[in-house]
Amino acid sequence: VLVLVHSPLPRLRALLQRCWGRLERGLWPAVFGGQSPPWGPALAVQGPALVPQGISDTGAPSLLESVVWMAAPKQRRTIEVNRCRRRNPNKLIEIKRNIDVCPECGNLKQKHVLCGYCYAKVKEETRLIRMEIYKKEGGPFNAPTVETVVLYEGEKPTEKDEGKRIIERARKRPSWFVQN
Amino acid sequence: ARADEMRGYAERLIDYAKRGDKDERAMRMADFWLTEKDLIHKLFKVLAPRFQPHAGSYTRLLQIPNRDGLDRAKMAVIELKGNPLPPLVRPRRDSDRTLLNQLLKGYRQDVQRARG
Repeated sequence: VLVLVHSPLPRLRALLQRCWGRLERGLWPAVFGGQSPPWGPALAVQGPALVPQGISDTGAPSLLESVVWMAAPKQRRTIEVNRCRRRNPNKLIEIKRNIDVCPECGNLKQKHVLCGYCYAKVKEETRLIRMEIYKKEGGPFNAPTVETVVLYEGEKPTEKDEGKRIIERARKRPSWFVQN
Repeated sequence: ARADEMRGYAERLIDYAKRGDKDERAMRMADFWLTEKDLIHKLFKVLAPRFQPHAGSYTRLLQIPNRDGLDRAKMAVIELKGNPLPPLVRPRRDSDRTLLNQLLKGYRQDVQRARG
């Protein structure tokens, strides 16, 4: 393959021709005529064929060369450093400024949350009322189609509670349950 | 969060029920959502008339202290307004004995005296 290079300098042309010739000899040795021996697949390893497995007299033969490196602390963290980390303000619980006194019972409560004691009272009373309802209804699917009214001991239904079903509770009315 | 989600469903169901007993769509909705069939009767006959005068919110959503178990989960309580059960929160009116109210009362008396 002749490369036609029209360069003005003859020296440059000679250099290019020599480079091209060397390239050709490298790529197609057979074409050139057998001055360099044909290449073939050769062993990449020049030294001893076997990788050294370790001297046989060190320990049990189950020692593997594959070691996994893991991170471990180099020094013990002193108690001062530990204290600095544990008591750093971003690790402490934030102070809450939304605690108030419940006006009914005097327990503490959060401003946007109901008082725990008052809620427990109401929950218990509701549970007892619902037990009465359950006893009155009898079965599971007997919800009445009228409103309900809860009356305590010694109370009579007023004119407003005309068509409602009455649930009796055998105790006196608690002060916090106002009758409408 | 679950109570909040449920509140939307409950209010929409009541809005459907307000349309009336004979409305076909309302009846189908109530039938689909309420699995206990006697509650559909209660919805249409008791809750719909009860909430007829009110325009919007029929439920009250309140937060209660965190659960006592290991998880300290946030808890909330939902109730329909106007129910016969004991009230969860008593609406408190400002007492007349607070300092601010006493001062305002004194100011009002002064103004009246000056006018008269």
